[in-house]
Amino acid sequence: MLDEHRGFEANIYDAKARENIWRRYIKEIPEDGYLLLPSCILAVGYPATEAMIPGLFDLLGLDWNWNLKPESMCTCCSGIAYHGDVGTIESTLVTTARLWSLAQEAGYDAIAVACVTSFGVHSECFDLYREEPGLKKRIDKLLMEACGRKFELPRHIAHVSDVVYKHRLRLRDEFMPYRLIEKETGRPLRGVDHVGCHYNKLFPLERSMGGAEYCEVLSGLVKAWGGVDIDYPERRHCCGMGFRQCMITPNRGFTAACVNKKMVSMEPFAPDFIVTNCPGCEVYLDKEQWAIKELTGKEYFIPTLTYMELVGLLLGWDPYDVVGIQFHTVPVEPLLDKIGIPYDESKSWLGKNGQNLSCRDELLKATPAAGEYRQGDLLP
Amino acid sequence: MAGKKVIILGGGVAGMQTAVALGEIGIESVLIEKEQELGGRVKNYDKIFPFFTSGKELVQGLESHIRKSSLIKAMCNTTVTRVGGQAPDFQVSLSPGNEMIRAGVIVVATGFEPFDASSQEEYGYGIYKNIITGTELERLLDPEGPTNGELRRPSDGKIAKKIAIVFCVGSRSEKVGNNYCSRVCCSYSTKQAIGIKEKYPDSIVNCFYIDVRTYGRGFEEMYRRAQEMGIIYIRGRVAECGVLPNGDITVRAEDTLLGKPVQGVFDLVSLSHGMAPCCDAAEIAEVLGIATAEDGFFTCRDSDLYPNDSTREGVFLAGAAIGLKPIPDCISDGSAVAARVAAFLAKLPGEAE
Repeated sequence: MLDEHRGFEANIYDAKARENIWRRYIKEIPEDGYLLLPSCILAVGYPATEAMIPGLFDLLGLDWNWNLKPESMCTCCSGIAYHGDVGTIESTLVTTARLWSLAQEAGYDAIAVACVTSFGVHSECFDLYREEPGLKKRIDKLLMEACGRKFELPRHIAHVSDVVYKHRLRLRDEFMPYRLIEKETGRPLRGVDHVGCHYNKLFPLERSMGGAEYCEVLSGLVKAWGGVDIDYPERRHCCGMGFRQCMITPNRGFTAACVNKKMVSMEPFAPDFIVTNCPGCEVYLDKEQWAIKELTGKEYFIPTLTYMELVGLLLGWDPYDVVGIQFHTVPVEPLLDKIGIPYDESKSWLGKNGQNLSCRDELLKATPAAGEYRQGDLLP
Repeated sequence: MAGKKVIILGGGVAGMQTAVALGEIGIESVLIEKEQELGGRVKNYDKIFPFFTSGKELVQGLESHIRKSSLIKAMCNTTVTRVGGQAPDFQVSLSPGNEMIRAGVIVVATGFEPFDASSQEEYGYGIYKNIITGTELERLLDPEGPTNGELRRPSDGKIAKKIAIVFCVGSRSEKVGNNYCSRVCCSYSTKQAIGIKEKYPDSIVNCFYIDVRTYGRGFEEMYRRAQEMGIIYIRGRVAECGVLPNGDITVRAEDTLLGKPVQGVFDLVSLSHGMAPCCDAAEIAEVLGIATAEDGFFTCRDSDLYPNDSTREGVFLAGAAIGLKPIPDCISDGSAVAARVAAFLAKLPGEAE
């Protein structure tokens, strides 16, 4: 079946071997019962992605404990400070210990993290306790002094994409009216997965579903929902995000170069869409396609979705009101056309009272092309 | 009688040479081989380094000696299930048939297992069809092999003209748990590169290496010859391989002499996989009551003075079972262990003739 739809790829891959290799790394994902920890940056770039998670968990009837109010007491994991080298490791350990204590207070031995950077931070902290005897005692004391809490190491650290992976077949069979199949032709759509580095490259043996090289957490979704996953030479290449590039403006060209390298590499495989599970990757793979067009004139414009947006679209949730595809730089509508998902573009920026909130035209008018910046202009 | 008979486990070149040398001394031996024919891995090698002689003919020569000797009995498709007693009266049970043989000495010459290249997942072996192992390249270059010696790549049968050979796959790697150097990969890869270049003078062969360890007599000369033929050696471990829609393979590495990342597209990539202890080494060690070292190979009683003696009296070791070595060294080992066995038997009380 897979070979049949891979076309030219059937000759260059051994599909069966590829299916077997990721099974060396099976990660235990709890069925249910975890504290959901939101991301700091996901909601900024693609707000609907995070907003859909509670809806999905409720749809699946999962036991989770999060409310969107400040009283949820969830905080940043301190990952940005940690990776930006502006905080001590003890601060990060205490911050994650506090979040774990929240989960334990709610009666859970697992956390589900919405952000891949956070996922990496939680995993690294967990590993530090394992590697450094006496550390737990020290952080116990610091946590008690800081906020009067106690904590234990969580049994499971899951990413929300792990949870979706766990329930992928149930989602397909019970809830999804759409498949990753071209409506007109019946052709399985070709999906490129881009897994966040801090999901599968830090602790590939125990934290990544499928390991580092043939990570399954996203490609498994693509396959389960009717599509074909694509391997290409730069599949494992970082998107180029990195806080160093985000924070230091002159380094941003590096990010565009990384995305460009990936685009050049994936283009011959004719992907229909890209799916990500990391907030940073989503931002850069989507936005830099515009930058690449401005810089080189080459228009790739491969729709780039978070795994939650993919879930939302296939569940038939409203593409604008619920899934929020209007926040994308690369238009997602061509993908909707292929799948046969209806949408009304005139409603893409309607507020609650029906007022049109779009400032797209004004923005387009005000934003000069990349080559038109003058010295002294404030670069974005 | 038991005290004079020697059982040799493993019918590769080391085991065969042990039997031949013992026969020349006048000592009777039984050669036990689990496969259906003698010759181990060397029987499949068309050319062996450094002098490009035939591995097949080497095996045929040894086999001819064995067949002619009345003192050697070869038993193929046979394994040892149990060893009772002690030197000089071992009782060795064999399968199938449950036959029991009494012997004074046991020689272990069980060889090696090629490293499973699919364990280094970043190279895509087993998944991308145009990434093959050194063993498979050996077969492709063999005129009696599946392609009659033509270097046809698996995906489309096209003759490969741009080839990358990746050294040290599964060797010198903490990541895969093999810290040791397999000792023969640099040389067999160089031999293969020369073979390709001789057959296809217009081909481009790039060898990615960490260090080139061509240390034996004639080895360095072979390496020099390869460079003079235009084979390119790039110092740097390959980071990853990928595949293009036409089946070509992308290779990314760091050129550590230039201090820069390098990337190339090749028709075919051969992974010069190293060697691991034979797959049943642990089981054999348990049956025989001998020790294995951290690297999984059998432990020598004294690696300086008695490298062919195991940790148990009356059990001797030969060939790649005690660490990897080229074919000539395995042959020497066979002769050396025969001398050790003869010395051991000569000292037995009441056995002197």
